[in-house]
Amino acid sequence: MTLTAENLGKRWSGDVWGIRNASLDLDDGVVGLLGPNGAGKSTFMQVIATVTKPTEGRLYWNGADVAASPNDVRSVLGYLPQDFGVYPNLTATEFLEYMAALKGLPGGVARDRIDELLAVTNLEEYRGRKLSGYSGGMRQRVGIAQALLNDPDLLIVDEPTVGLDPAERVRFRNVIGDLTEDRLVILSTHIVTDVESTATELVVLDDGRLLTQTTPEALIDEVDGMTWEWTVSSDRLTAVKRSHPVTKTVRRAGGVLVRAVSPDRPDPDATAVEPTLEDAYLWTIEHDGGA
Amino acid sequence: MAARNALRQCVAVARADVLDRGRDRRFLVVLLASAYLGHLVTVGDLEMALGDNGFRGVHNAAWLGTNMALAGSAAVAVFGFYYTKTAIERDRHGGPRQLIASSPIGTVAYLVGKWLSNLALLAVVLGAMGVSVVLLFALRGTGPFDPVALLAPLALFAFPVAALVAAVALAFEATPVLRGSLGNVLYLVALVAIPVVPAVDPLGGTFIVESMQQAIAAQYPDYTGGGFSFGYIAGEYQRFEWQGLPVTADLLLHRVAYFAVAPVIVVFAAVPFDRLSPDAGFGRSLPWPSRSGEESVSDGDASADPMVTVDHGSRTAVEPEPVTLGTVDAARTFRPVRLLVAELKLALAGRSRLWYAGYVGLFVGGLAAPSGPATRVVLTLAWVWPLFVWSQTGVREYRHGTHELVFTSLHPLAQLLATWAASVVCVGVLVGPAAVRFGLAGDLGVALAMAAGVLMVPSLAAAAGVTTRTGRVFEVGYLLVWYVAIVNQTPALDYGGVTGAPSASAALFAAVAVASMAVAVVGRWRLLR
Repeated sequence: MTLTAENLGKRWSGDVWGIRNASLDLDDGVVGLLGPNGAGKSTFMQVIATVTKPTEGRLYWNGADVAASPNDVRSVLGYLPQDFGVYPNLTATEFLEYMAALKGLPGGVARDRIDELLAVTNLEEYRGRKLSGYSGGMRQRVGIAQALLNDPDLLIVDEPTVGLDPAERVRFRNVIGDLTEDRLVILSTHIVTDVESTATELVVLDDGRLLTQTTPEALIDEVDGMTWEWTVSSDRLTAVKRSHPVTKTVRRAGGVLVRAVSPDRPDPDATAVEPTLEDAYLWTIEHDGGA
Repeated sequence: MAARNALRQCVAVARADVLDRGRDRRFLVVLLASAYLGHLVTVGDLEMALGDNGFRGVHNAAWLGTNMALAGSAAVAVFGFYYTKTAIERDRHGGPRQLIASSPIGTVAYLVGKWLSNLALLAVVLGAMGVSVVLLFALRGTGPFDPVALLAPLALFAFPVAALVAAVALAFEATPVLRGSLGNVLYLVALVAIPVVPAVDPLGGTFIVESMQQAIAAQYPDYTGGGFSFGYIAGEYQRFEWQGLPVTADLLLHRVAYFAVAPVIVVFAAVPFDRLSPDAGFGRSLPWPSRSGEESVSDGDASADPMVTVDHGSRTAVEPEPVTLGTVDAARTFRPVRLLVAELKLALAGRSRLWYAGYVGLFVGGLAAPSGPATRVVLTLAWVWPLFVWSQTGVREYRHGTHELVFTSLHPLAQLLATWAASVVCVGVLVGPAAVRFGLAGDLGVALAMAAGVLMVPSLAAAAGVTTRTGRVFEVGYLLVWYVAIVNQTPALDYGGVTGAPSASAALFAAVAVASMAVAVVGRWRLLR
């Protein structure tokens, strides 16, 4: 499975671009799409999912132009948009049966798959209840289930863990982790821990531009030896935040423990610590995002 | 202080709503259509005709201004209602629902603000009509240019109608049972069915007609009276001079009374209004997560699932049991029958018991009713019963926010056709038995016209739904068609077999069906490109 973007751009209106000049090559695996709000993640995913056509550039799925033959993608696609609705008068089972029909699954296969997915998403107990009675997190799980219905070769999930409780988030990550063989999973989130445990590759976007395509290890390596922790007094915290990209603060009895990324030792008391993906991501956004 | 605060809140609600709806491109279309009404009035394609001889007035300022006011009042009463009946819906479905519901604004203040907003938008629409008729009078009018005679009727007759319609639309929105399609239908039925008498005449037509009749009688002594009509009227006619309706205290009081009634309706609308609550239930169209109550299930219930406790050194974390997902080996191909069944189930899901009972009753009636009046009654109802099924075509995906899921599925174009086919099946089941009986009895023309109608009506719904993304346009438009063609039993338009006469229009109905479906398919295809 390969997905190739060449100078991909999507203009929404006037001079407002969701994404611009994005070029990348993706193969099998879990790709974490990271970026702050408004970075263009959802636009990028909508273009890949054939919801909207690119304004410029080309997108290829296994060598075929997606804009020219969107059905090549749709036939193997599982898609969970950031915002989606359900039919409130249907039960979870009925809704999934409907989506299975749209995806062209035979009835018997669909029923087995739905049983399996309701178990995986922990909705078995509520399968006969109308969706109007579901909470936001439960509807999100129905959305995850419909995305996995057709055992997709290309799975695109946009902010999939929004509204899920911690146990369900772990459950979702486990499911994604099990799916990686012979398929491409694109997982968009602004929660770094969601991709930390599953992503084999990372794409970082900011302000509609692709900042980097790399691996989690390589991104962390970029800030190796540049991550520091030290304690400052509360009244100095604002000044420290102004001068260094602070990734974490923890209030303690003797002041505030500050964690920041900096090429130079930011304070005589600062000690070097092991960088995390979150440190590396925030440094990339801070350092390359304004470029 | 409290009153001033409430007033400020009303104005803030009205201002935000006017800005939001006024910046919508559809409002520009409404304004252009309003200006076009001015053209129709000034060229005489839309005017009053009185008496058996079709008396019409000389196109002076008073005549054109008054006809503009009547056209404006009618347009506001019919289309203005459906246009403004989105004030609360936009807040409910557009996002700020919870922000407004949790704010300290009073329910009445909120509704008054929305009423002011509705009224402001309709006033702008009437303003566009006023500008249009003034400019076009300069080009086509007869006699001296008199801006007061041109515009006063709009203020005197159409503006109170706007105030009333703005309030009624809000009351419908505020009442759960009237919020949806049922309210749309009931309003139109009420508009057609409520008799107009001088005491209860929101449009004020009776005053105008009386004054015009007096003018005709003075100029044509052999005038014998008769009814009146308004619209495009072909045929011979005579012109008479009319200088306008004298504004008397009685007339002013009558018009101001309608304006005064409107705020009262708004205040009463606060009683059934749920204050944007997500669990209002009846009439709800979007899937809100439930807040509480028996029906709702919280995320917390998920913790009831078996968990394994894992020891991570000094702390204990809870992780869910590992889960695995199998693979799907079956080919993913187009399965039309399965798709049609899925769409049929969806189309019929969630209707009231009364609707299901009516549907079964009409089906049985279609099979068992003897020819003649009984069959006519069954067919008349059968041609409107699936209205809410039809009006979902091309709309449902947007209404429920599933469009991104549906449009990225394997055959999104086929999904539209399956939705249409489900609608065809729904009405075909009801009118099919009667059509077959007509065919067997030798009335092949009627049977063919009905078959074409079965295809035409869902096609019109699909075209309107895909194009406008709302079911309202079809619901209102189709009810007017149904009223004229089926209820009034107009042979030339009888797609329903209610006149019993062989119809030569089957080909026309089929052509409309094909053209409408072409519009729908192209519309969906353009979305998917």
